[in-house]
Amino acid sequence: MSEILENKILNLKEKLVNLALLVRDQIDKSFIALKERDKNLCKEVIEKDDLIDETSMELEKEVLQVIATQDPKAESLRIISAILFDNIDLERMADHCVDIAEITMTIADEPHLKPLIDLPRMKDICIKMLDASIKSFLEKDTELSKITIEDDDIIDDLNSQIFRELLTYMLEDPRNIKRANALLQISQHYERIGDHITNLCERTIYAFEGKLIKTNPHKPRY
Amino acid sequence: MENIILSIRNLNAYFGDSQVLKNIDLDIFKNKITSILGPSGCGKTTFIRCLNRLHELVPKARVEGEILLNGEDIYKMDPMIVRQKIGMVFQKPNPFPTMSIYDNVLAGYILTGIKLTKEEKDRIVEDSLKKSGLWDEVKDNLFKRGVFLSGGQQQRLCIARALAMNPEVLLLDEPTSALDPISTLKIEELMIELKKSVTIILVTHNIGQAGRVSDYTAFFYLGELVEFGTTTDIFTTPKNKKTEEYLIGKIG
Amino acid sequence: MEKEIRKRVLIDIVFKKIVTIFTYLSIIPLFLIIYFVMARGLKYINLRFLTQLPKPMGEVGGGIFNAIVGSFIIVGIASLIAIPIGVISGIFLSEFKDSKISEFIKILVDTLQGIPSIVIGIIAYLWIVKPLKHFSALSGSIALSIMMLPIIIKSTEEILNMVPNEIKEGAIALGAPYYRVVLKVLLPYGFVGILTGILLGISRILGETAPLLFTAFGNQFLNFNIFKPMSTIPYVIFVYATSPYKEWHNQAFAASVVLIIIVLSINLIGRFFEKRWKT
Repeated sequence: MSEILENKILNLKEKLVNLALLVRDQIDKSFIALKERDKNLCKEVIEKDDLIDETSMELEKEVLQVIATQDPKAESLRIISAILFDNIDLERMADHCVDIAEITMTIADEPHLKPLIDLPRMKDICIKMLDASIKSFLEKDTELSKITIEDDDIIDDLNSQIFRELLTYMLEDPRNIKRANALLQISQHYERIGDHITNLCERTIYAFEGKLIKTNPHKPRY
Repeated sequence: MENIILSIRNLNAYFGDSQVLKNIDLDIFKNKITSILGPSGCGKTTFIRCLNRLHELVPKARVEGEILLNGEDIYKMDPMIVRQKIGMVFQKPNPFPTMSIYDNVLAGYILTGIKLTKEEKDRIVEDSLKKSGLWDEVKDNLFKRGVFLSGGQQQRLCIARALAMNPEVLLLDEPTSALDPISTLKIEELMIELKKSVTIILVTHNIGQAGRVSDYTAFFYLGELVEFGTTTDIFTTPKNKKTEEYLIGKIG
Repeated sequence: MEKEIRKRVLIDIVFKKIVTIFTYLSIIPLFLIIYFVMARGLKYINLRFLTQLPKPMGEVGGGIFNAIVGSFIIVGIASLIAIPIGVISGIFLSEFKDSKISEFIKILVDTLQGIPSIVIGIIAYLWIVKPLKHFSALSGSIALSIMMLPIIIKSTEEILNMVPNEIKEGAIALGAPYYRVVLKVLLPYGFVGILTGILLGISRILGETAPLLFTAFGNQFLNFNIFKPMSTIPYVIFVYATSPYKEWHNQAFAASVVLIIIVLSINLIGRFFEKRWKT
């Protein structure tokens, strides 16, 4: 690969990592906001999303510029294409964080329905998967991507579990429905975040192995 | 804000009665690579030959307008001084066949009668050949004649020869069109390195090359400057339809 | 169909054979002359012949030393006159090939080349010998230089026309003033070609006799003064060959051999340089 192209790709990777770090931060903050019932933190998360959208659009523009001017082929093309689509997945993940914050705003004034056990686990796995997927992309470690994809099953399982648990709360007392529903939606958002990260991993495998892998979409809940 | 090193105002160029360049207005930014793109016959070679006052040497050629180098009109300067400040590398590598590699690099000084000490000569030869990436390949054969090198090496020798004069601007007229892909790549990487010390204007019909190396792009068509902007803007969002047609290969 | 092809192949062979035969035919006169002259003259060449002055008729021996010296001096001076003028004119014609003046000069040069050598000799006689009231080596040189000029001008012009345009432009683009482009780039590039042209010019005029009859005339003695008559090899060949003495006839043949050898050598040197230049 020519040095010119190599430098441009390095630059794009850097920008992608920056975006991923911003999103990671949003995942963390939106959870803390939920746990602490902190409305101010929710607002912060919601407002931060503008920065993330801007960063994402900048990255998209830059990727197009590199494609137009450098005419990449083969692995270079797949890497750049991966960055282009990862950009979209990251931006959607950030949107999910905003949704989590907005939902939190609606129940923040009431005490927690129940101690949060599974949701933090989901959040932790998301963070772990995000870190791993970015690492595997930067280090061309397709094995790590394959392992990370399996973690998505755990998230799917946790989602099903939360659903069954909250169902009982809703059936028990109609006054629980609002809060239970909120937690249910938040769980689904984490589940979607997990799916997006799975996309990142699949793309990494395509970029470096040239093989398209489509894992099954999230397992059915029932 | 970028520095403007060369300012072209209302440039019109003629061959006898036929007008080859019409009202060109363009600014060239310092230490950047500006590529001049366009189909054959669009006037891009005539344009750069006006910049080093080579155009006027052709019989019946005429130039009107202003070209300011750091504010000074080059048509009011001694043409030889202009050519020392604005160097040129041609499409076909043209090292002087009767001179050694050493003398070829110093040819600018030999031909303008500037006297140098042996130390100065050695230093200039080594610096210029290092800058053009040729030093390691020829340092043991400096006194052999330049024509025994490969095409890509000859072209780098010509670049060294131009650089030896410490020009402010370097005009490259399709410098890689006669070379193989590997030499082409080497020279493209060289250009990116060189722009730190000299401003580069690159005429090319190779759109890919313009995209790869240049910071700014000027699109010429039928003797007119159709569009000018950063390469990234021109390649992703050209404002003129002709520019777009050229980029996608519909014309030219 | 086969008949057609065979017919064509046959015509081809015949054609090639005819071309070969005619080529040999055209060389035969040359070989005959050289053989004839060598046969008659070679045996009279010895060291004495080459280093002694002519002896008056009646005495044995004598040589053509003064003629050899004279030829060198006269041809040398002619070269000194013709080379600078010729090369510079050649440069002019090559550089300004589109101008009307150039076209005019080219016609002049072609005309000059066509003027018979004896006419040039007569003109030199009228211009120089008559005013100065006597024959001189200088007038001979001038006549010969006029004959050399067209050859040098044309070959210089042709050689310089072959300098690739990009070499010239490369020099100009470095900021060189015109005279340096000529001196440091064009002339070195065409040097060997121009030299070849000069050598061919020299070898041509070495054998010219007619102009010398009216200008340098001849001299029995060894003479280094260019304002006085001087002997030359072609001149002595003429005089000896048309004399009634058998001795002198032999010497004429011997002198012819010497001349042929000198001209041949110069030609060979010229061709050698030409080959080297072409690589």
